[in-house]
Amino acid sequence: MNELMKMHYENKRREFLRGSVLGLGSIAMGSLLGCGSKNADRKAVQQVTEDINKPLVNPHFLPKAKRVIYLFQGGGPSQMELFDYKPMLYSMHGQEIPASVIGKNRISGMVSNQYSFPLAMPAATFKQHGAAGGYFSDLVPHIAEIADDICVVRSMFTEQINHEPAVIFTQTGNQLSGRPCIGSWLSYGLGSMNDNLPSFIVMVSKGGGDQPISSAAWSSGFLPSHHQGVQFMTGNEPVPFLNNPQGIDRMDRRRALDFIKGFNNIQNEVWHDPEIESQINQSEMAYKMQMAIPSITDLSDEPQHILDMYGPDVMTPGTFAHNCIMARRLAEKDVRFVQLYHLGWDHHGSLASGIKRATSHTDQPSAALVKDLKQRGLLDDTLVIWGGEFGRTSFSQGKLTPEGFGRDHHPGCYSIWMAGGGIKSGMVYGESDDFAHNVVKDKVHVHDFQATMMHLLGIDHEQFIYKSQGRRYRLTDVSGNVIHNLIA
Amino acid sequence: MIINFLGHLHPVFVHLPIGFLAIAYVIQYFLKSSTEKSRLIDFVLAAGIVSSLLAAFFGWMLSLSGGYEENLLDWHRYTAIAVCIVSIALLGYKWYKKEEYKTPYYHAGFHLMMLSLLLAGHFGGEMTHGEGYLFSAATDTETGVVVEKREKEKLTAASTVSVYDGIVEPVLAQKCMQCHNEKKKKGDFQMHTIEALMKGGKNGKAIVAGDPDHSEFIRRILLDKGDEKHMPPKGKSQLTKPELDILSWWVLHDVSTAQSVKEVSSNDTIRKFLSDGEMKSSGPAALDTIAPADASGIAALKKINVAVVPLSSSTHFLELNMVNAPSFGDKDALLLQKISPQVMWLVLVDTKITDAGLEPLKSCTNITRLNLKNTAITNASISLIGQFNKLEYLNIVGTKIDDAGLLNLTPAPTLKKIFCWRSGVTTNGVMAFQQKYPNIEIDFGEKK
Repeated sequence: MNELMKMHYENKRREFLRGSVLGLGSIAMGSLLGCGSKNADRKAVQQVTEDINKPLVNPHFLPKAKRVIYLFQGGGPSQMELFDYKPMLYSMHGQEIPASVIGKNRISGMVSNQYSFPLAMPAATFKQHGAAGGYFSDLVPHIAEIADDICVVRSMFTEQINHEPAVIFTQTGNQLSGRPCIGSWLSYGLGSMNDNLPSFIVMVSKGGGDQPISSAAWSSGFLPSHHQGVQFMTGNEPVPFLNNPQGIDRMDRRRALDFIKGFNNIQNEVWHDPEIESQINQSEMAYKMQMAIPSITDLSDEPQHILDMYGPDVMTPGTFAHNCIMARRLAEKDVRFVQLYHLGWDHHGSLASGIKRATSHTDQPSAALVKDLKQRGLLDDTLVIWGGEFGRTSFSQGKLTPEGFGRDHHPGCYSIWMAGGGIKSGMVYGESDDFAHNVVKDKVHVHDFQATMMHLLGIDHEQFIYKSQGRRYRLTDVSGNVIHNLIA
Repeated sequence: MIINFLGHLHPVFVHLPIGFLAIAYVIQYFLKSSTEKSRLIDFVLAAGIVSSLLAAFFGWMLSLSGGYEENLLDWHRYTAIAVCIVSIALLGYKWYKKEEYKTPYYHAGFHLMMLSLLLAGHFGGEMTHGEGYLFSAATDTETGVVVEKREKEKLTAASTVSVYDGIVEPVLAQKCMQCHNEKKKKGDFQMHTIEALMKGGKNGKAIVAGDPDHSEFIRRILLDKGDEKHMPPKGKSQLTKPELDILSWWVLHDVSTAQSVKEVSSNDTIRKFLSDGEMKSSGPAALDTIAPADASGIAALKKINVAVVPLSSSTHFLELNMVNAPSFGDKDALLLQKISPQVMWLVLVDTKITDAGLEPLKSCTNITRLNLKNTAITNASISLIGQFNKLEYLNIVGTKIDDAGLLNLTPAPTLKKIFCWRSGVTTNGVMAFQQKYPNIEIDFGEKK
C-alpha cells in the first residue's frame, strides 16, 4: 500500500466519522422525539446535508430572463438630480429640512456634527417623458428617451450608509464581505449556456472617481471559486496573454493542459477538494477563451451608426461606453451575467459639476445599450439593471454656498431603473416624500429587489440555498419578497 | 342557526353507518363461524344502528335548509329510513331468537339492509355530485345537462366555427347553464340555445343586439358582486375579465352576423381571448404534461454541441441553443425531429440553417420563441413560421425576409413580438403589418 492510498483511506475515515456523528445525532433526535423509525430519521438528516449543495441546473419555474446586465453606479447617484423630481426642493432652497422628515433616521459621521441641514435645490431641471409621464432630469436626456422601455423604481432603500458595506450588501445580500455575489450565485445555480466564455464577467470603468471598488463585490464566497466574476482589464487587451508565446502553438498548449489535468485528477481523487476541480475548470476556460475572446473584443465589425449610438467614448477601452457595447456583445453570446461598475457618483461637494461629469459618461451608453439590445430582440430575455448602492441627502453636506453644495450618503430612499427580462416597461414604481428622504409608497428593500431579480430568472430565492460551515445561506439571507407589481 | 349546524354534521356522520353495516355484512358472510363471530356481529350492527340514526337525524336537519331536488331527496330519505328500520329489526330478531337466529328470514333481512344501504348511498351521491354522476363521462357534472365536451386547445385563429359556437357557448355552458338550461329555467331564462337566449326571461329581452349597455344579460354581470341581482349569483364561479369582454364583444358585433372565428381572428378582443386560452394550455399547468424527450435525441444534439436545456425543473420542455454550434446546418436540423414536441424555445442565431433546413422543424408544434437572427432564412419559410401556432416571439433580424414575406405571415394568435431589424423588411412593410395586426409589437430598430 503506497502513501497516496493511505491518504485515500484516511479521507474515507473522515467521511465515516462525519457520517456517524450525524447518525448518532439523529438517533438522539429520534429518541427525543419519541419516534420509532430511527433509520428513517437518520436517512432524512443525511439526505438533507447531501442534497443541499447541488446546483439547480434548471430554474424552478419558467424564466422570463436568461441573462442579466447590471450597470452598477458606484458612489450613490443622487435621486433628486436624476429620476425623483421634488418641486418642493426648489421652493424651499436654503431652508432647514423639517425635523419630522429626518426623524430618527441615521445620518453619517460626515454630517452628524452639522448644526444646520439646509435643503439644496437640485442642480437639474425636470421634464416628463414617455407614456407613463415619469419625470427625468436634463442630465439624462438619453435615458429619458427610453422612458417607455424602462421601469424606474423610486422607492428603493438599503440598510448600509457607507460605500463598501452598501455595495457588498447590494451584491451579496450581506454587509460583510465573504458571501457569494449575485453573479456567482447565478453562475453556480444556472451554469453557462456558452461553453467558451465564463458565465460571469465583470468590467470596471477606468478613472471613474474617488471611491475604489473591492473585488469582494464579485467574489464567489463559499461557492466553488470558478464561479467568481472574471474581470476584464481596462487596457487594450481586456484579457491578457491570449496569444501563445512565440514557438508554442495551440496543440502544444493543449498537450500541456491535458498533462497537467492528469496530475490534477490524481490529486483530486486523493483529496476531493472542490478547488482542484475549480483549477481544472479555470484552465480549460482560459484555453477556450484564447479562441473566443478576440471575436468579442474586436469592434471592427460594428457599423458606424451603432458605435455613434454609444457616444464618442465607445472606441476607448476602459470607458463605460466601451464596456456597454462589450456587454451587449457578451449578451449576444449568451453570457449569463455581465456586471459593469462605473464609479464617480460620490458627490459630497461640488455636486453640480460632479454629477454632470458622471452623467456625461453614463447617460448615452446606458440608453444605447437598452436600445441596441431591443432592436436585436435581446431585451426580451435580458434584464438590464441601472443603479447604485444608496441615494443622497436632500440637504446639503456642509454649508450651502452660492458656489455650490454637496450631498451626503442616504440609505433611506433612492432610485434605480430596470429594463427588459420580464420587467414592466414604461412604468414608475414607488413614491418618496416631498424631500426624497423617506419612501412613502411601495417600499423596495435590497432583498426584495434581489428576490424579484431571481424570480425573473426562474429561481425561487427561498429554495436556492447553499450550506457552508454549518449554516444555510441564501442571496436574500432570511428575508426578501418578490415584487410582483414590477413583473410584466 | 342550530338547525343549519346540525345539518352540516350530516356529511360527518353519514359515512359511519355505511362502513359499520357493510362490515357486519362482510363478517356475516365471509368470516368462518366461531363463538366470537356472533358477538362481533352484534357489536358492529349496534354501532351501525346508532350511527345511522344519528346520520338520519342530521340528514333531516340538512333537508330543512332546502335547496335540494325534491324527487331525489325523497328517494334518499326513504331508503335511508329503510336502512335504519331494517337494521334495528335485524338485530332485534337476532337477540330474540338467541342461538337459532340463522333462519331464512334473518338472511333475507341482512340482504335487504345491504340493498337499501347501497340505494341510500347512491341517491345521496347523486344529490351531492349531480344526477347521473356515476355513469357520466360526458355529462357536465354540476348541472346534469349533457354538453358536448370541447377541447379548448383546438380552437385557433384558423377555426371555422362561429364565434357563438366556438367561444360564447362554452363560456355560458361553464358559468351560466347550471341554472339556465333546458330543464331548469331560473327567472324563466334559458341559455342552452341562441334562440332561447334572444327570447329573454321574465324581465323581458335579455340581449339587445349591438347594444351591450342596454342588454340585461351584460348589465347583470356588471352589477356589484354584493347586489342580489348580480349574475352569476354569489358563491357560483364568476366570469373572468376576458370572458366578460368576449360576451360584450359578441353582443355588440356578432349576435346577428354569426361570423366564424377565422373571420374575426385579427380583432384584438378575439386575439386576446384566444391567446389567453393558449397561455392556459401552455402555461405552468400544462408544462408538466409533456413527456420526457427522447434521450438518444438529446444525446445526438449534445454531440454536435447544441445546448439542450430544460426550461425549468418542473417541465420537460426544452430550450435549444446553438451558441456553441455555429456550424449547425440543414442536416443537423433533422436531429430535432426526435424531440420535436419538447422544443419550446429555439435559438438558431448565427447558424448555417436555410429554408430547406427549417422545413423538418414543422413538427415542433410547441415552439413559443423562435430566433432566426443572422441566418439565411427567406420568405420561403414564412408559411412554415405561420404554422407554429403557439409562437409568442419571432426574431428575423438580419434575415432575407422582406415586406412581401412579412405581409404573407399568418401570425399565431399568441404572437406578441416580431423583431425584423436589418432584414429585408422596410418601414412600409412594418406599417402595413401593424395596420393588420395592431396588437403585435413589431420592432424595426429605427426610430419612428
